[in-house]
Amino acid sequence: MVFASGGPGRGAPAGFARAAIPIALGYLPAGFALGVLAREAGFSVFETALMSASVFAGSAQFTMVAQMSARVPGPLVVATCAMVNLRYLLMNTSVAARMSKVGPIRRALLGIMTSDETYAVNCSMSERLSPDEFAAPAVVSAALGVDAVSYLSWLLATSGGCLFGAMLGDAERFGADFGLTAVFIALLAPRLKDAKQLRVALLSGAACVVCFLIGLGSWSVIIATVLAAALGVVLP
Amino acid sequence: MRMSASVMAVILGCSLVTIFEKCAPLWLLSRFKPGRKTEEWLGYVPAAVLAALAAPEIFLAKNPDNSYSLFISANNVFLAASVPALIAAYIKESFFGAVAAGMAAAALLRYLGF
Repeated sequence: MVFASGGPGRGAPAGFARAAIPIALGYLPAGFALGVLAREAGFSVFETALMSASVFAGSAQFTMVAQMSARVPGPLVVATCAMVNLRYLLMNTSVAARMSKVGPIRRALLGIMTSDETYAVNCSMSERLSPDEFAAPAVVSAALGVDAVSYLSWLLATSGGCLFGAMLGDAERFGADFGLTAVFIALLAPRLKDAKQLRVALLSGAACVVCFLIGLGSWSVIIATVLAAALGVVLP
Repeated sequence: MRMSASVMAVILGCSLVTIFEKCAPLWLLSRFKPGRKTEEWLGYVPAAVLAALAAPEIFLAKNPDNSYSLFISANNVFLAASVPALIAAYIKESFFGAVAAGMAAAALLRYLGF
């Protein structure tokens, strides 16, 4: 349990602090891998750092890098990024009411620095607190602290990967060209334990393969996604 | 080498849509209320996107004329490497373990001459 004893709200800052370290450590290898791939896709260190600072969304950034490598047109890269990050709309909708007493600037910072991991922390913390307790300066500062540590770790890891990745030499020999596909599998697999998610994933994967085979090219990912997610809702 | 301007434009576009998606619910608060069907659809989107991204990489090969064909064969390194990655991700629920297992398998297969 991340919560210390001592009543609601009082142990919250310590609970947040304990969550920050594993998140930051977990971002280092994934961020480094992204940096290496970004370099191969033609991103400079500055562009990699700027992408991490402004987009700050792991799976979307992997998607961006993969599509830039494959020379997918810019507007389609942005559209795919929007699809990949649609989940944040849903996630932050689920915590919006509990953060309603937080000031507008801090609320914006909490929004920008949202990731799957920081959302998980903020969600479980805010569930245990009233909106007023969550808005207490010590609690909001602790929440922003976790976000900031995660954010800086991601920024350093991705820039470092881009900067030092060249030292690794021929990347294919290390299976690095499979890295992106492995990342997609790693992010997808936990969702497949739900039968309906599994069905949507199978439909989407098959639809996307068919789209590529009939020559729809870069549009395939978006067409398959919209279609499969809709079938997930419509099918019994 | 691609023009740097297009990389910058893509980064700007992606950051704008992402910041909107992350912040809009917190700014608009209760005014944003997706319907039950919309919410369910949104819930399926991440799995659908990830599957749509991974499947072509695993099952397709690009032909010299830029068309694609199905590539289901013992020589398909990506198809073989997906198996340990999927097992590590599904059973161990380890993000980095899955990526490492997949890349190690791909490296080993290449070393063996596939």
